[in-house]
Amino acid sequence: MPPDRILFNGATNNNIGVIIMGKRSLLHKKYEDNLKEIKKSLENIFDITFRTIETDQGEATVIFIDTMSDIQQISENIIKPLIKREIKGEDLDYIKEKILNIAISEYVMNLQELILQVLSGNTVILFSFDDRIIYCETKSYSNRGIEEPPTETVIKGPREGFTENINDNISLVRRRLRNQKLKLENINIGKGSNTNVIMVYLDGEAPSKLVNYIRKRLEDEEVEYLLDSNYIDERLQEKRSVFDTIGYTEKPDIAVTLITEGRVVILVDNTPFAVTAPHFFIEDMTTPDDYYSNKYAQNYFRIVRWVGLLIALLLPGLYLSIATHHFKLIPTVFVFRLAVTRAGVPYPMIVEIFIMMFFFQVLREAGIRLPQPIGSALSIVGALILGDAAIGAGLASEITVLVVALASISLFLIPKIYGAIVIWSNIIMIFGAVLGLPGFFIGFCIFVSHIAGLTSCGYPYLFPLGTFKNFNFKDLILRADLRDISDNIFEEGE
Amino acid sequence: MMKKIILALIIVVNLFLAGCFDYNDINRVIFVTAAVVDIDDEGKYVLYTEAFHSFRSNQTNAEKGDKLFFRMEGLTLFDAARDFNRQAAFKVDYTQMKAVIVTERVAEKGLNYIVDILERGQETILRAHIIVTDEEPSTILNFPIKQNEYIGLYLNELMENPFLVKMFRVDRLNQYLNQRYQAGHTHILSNLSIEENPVDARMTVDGGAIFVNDKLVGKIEEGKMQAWRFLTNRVDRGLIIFPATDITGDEELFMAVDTIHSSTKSDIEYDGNKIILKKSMTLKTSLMETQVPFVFNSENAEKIQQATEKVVKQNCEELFNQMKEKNIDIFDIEAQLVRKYPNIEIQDPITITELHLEINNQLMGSPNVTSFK
Repeated sequence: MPPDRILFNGATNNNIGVIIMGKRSLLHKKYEDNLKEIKKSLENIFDITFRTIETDQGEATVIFIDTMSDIQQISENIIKPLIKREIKGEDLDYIKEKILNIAISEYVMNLQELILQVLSGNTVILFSFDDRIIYCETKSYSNRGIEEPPTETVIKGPREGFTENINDNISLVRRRLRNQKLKLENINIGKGSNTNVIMVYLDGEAPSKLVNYIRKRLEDEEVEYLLDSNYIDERLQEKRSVFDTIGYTEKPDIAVTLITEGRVVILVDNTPFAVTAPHFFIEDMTTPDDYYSNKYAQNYFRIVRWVGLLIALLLPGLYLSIATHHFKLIPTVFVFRLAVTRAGVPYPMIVEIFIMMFFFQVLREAGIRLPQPIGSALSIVGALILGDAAIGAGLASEITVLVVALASISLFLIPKIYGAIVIWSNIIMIFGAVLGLPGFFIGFCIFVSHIAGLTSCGYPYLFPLGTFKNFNFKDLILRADLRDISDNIFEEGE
Repeated sequence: MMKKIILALIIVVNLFLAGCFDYNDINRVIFVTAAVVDIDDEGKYVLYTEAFHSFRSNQTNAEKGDKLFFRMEGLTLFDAARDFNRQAAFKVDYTQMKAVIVTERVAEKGLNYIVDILERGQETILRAHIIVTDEEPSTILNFPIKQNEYIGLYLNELMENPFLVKMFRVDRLNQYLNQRYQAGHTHILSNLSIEENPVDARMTVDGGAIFVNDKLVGKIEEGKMQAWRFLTNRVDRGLIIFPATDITGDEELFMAVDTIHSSTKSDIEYDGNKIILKKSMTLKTSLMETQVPFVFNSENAEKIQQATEKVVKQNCEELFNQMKEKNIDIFDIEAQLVRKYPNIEIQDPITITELHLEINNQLMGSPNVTSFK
């Protein structure tokens, strides 16, 4: 059975609106039986509170988790009015609408929903004089402030980033897109975690085929505990690959840009990373600064990034294949230099390069895992000392260290596909070492065919490259004016 | 499915190419930079090579590169080359061989006996220079050149000297391989010699060695090489020196013009008895030096133009007659005849050829400078 789905329509909170219930009420008629059942379901939870109060019409029990709820609000706006106000003779609708000073309150239809509301930080009230049960919106828990995301810093442009709070994230999106066509669909995923996942898209811009595809994939998700957006990432990936065919962003401005282009953004509760789909290879070569700074200067840096990609991917393989198979192609003076620098290295060049690349990967990993101030110092000092020591110890030649260092540094220009390029660079290198330049070309052909065969939500990963159709997607190697690239990218141009 | 087939085909095609190459670590190879080919008294080919070898010195604890010489004999050139591997610590590699120097003895016997391995060898490069020398191999290899450590690299730099490059000659293996199949089968290779002067001794490319059917038949000195290049439309720069007699009346003194541009149009006609070789030469020159002061007016400029034309014509006709006498067709007469009259076969066409040479020289220069006083 698919999980319950709540359609948000112009609201910023995930608990208002029309509730479409998929289950019949499972609650008992009797107040005591209900209370007993709830206590049984929530036993051994130290921070749950069952507060019994006496109203002038009879007993009522207020249930909430004190670590996730706003105690003051519960005291002032729920308990105090129920105790002090006269409610005799009035029905529960009157209490809900006139007595409780809470913006959002609704009836609970079944036990599962009741438990979910309590565990979400809301307050549930059971009445001895009425079968119906009310829940009130009283969530309150500490949030991280909206900060600049560390993975997507910009020199110029908005500095806000998504947080772990999904409501904050929704408001960050809404602030930028005050449009009635902005749709936010809530899909509850995870039988164990009951995580809110919001699918955001612009009605009319996002192709319905795409929206339906993503919705179905999310609804079919059967994970027990959804703790991070990466679960969604993996669910939406169509083929096994080291390339991410689903994107992510921490910046609301980028998320909104993608929404306006016709894509779907998925917000997951408790994670600051929004999932974007579909995601194309060409996007991995862009940075937020490309759109906030001078077009011509940024286009130049984009070319630098593309060259960096080629260096990172191809240079080690090209160097290895030429320096081990095709001495004819190297200028004589450089051949002599290469031979002299390698004279003391006792093992083959392929082993030498793999050792040095491994060293650089170790350094990078150590630099990332350590606290930032120590990490950056370690990376720089480590690279300098290790490189020099490796040459001194006869483990590597200067030129190999230079090639590996250049390839490794170039990788930092394309952080989104760092891991994928490292792995493919090694594959091409092995082909180059075994077969020389023909092997290098074989490796490159396999690489191109691999990424050309990938798809993202049904769209080619290399979109819009590799097609003769003229798509509106103008944000290719060089970007056009902002007004030209903000169109729907899936529409065909003239 | 079609895409997968195309991808598989691309990969398979590349695999075929892979058979040509082997994995070699660059420090485990001895690179030959120059080879000298000679013939001993028994008629065996003797191959001398200059090679580069890298190693790590245990004495200085540092990596080094060193020059090695090898000498081997064989019934064929490849036989001798293969035998190097009995002397070398690592594989001997010819991919960096920049110059093949052949002695006059080899040249007289014929380059056709050694050219096969140079052409078809997997490692030899077609852009290597092929040079004839009248010196002994040991003199060449032991010569203390100062501008580079390796003779092969020095000769490569020397032949690619921007000034020398303009003075066309057949000096690369690929040029030679093309030229030897052209009608006439005549070509001129560069000649390497050692020039001694009171100050020092230098290795120099001087004059040309004339080959007919791959055999050395004669030499041509450097002065005459200019006339050959003019006649065969192969010169762009060159100094033309002439006596100042016609301009200032001084018989002992000279003037020099530099060729800024030259082009020679060629045509050939055969009337059944004789061949007329028509050459129409256009020169653009600039006055470079004068040993005697003179007024540079239009009248003298005209005289300089005429004097230049006269000396060029004189040199060209002299060379033509000399070669006609020796029956050596270095002017591509037979090749031109074959192209224009493919059905006529004439033996030794140069012997019945007359040269009709027209020269049009234009003296260029700064219009503001009118006097060199």
